[in-house]
Amino acid sequence: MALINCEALYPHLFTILRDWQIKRVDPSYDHQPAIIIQKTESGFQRQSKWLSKPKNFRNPVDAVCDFIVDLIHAYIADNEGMLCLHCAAVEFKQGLVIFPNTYRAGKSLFSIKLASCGGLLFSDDILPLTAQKPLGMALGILPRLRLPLPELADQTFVDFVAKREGPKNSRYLYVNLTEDEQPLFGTTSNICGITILQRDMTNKPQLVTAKKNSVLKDVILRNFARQNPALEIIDRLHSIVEGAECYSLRYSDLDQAVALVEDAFGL
Amino acid sequence: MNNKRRKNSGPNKRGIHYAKNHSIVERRIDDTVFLVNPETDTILYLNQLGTAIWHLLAEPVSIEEATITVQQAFPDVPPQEIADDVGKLFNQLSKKDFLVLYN
Repeated sequence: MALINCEALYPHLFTILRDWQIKRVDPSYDHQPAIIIQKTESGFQRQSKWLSKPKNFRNPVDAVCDFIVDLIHAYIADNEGMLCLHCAAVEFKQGLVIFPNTYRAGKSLFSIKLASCGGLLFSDDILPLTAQKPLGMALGILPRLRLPLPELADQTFVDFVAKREGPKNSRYLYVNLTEDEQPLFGTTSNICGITILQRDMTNKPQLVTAKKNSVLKDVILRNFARQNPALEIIDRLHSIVEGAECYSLRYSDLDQAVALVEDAFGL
Repeated sequence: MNNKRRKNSGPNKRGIHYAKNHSIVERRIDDTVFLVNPETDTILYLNQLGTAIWHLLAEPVSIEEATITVQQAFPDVPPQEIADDVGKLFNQLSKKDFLVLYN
């Protein structure tokens, strides 16, 4: 990637991409950059082959947040055979449990809450699956919370986050987890569970078994690494779903939700 | 009967028969059928109606024949609703080359 007059982004990049080795190369380096970010009068502009037109950002944290999307695309493109799921993932005693993205279900909040209770957070947003055996892989990118924190975040959790405050702006806060809370880049783990989150403020919290066909549909839709043949994608994702305990978690209270998941998978 | 198959441009003529594209790979998980078209790298999953139609397509079938069969199976559902759904499904399946015209 090429960063042009973007020194203001460096502290955020180095902090958020916790385990990534970022090396300066000579400008004459014989490779076309996959991503270019340059300082403009009003902020930062990014260009890449994954964008139909350049994107502009006023705020440096927003510029880095959005850049990570392209970084993941570049990483997946460079690692043939990988799949990549839009989901959060936390390791429990039995293995890795993934929480596929569903609209406003709070996967980042819930996964960071699990990390605060002893779970190992592999990801709050994106989980690559290795090419050979379909293992979930940690990317070593700090998780991000949307601000303000919702009311269901209790004081203990608010304190946990405050002690680990990373780069932030008015909309987002990165949580600077330690290596005991978030494994190093490249750490892999077998997926033992898939839980579909449903935030529901009106009904009693409940963890119920989910039908595998419905979960498979969901997981297929959350895979955005489409360079692999469709048949291979469906068969690999099917093998993951078949080998996993599948649940749907309806919750309104974070502590109750953690207790339900802990009962199922053991923290 | 002539078994010659050709690619389809759309299921809009009465009496035309359709057949499964033989390149399609099926995966059945519980009661859901997932279809994969390796030629276009497309994945499609079928709902209950889609699964029933896919079963009917074990032999070449027209939209009209499929509609009548489904209407007989679900007499409580308004016939026009079934006709619309079956037409849409054939349209979707043929547009994505999961079906071919059968002559």
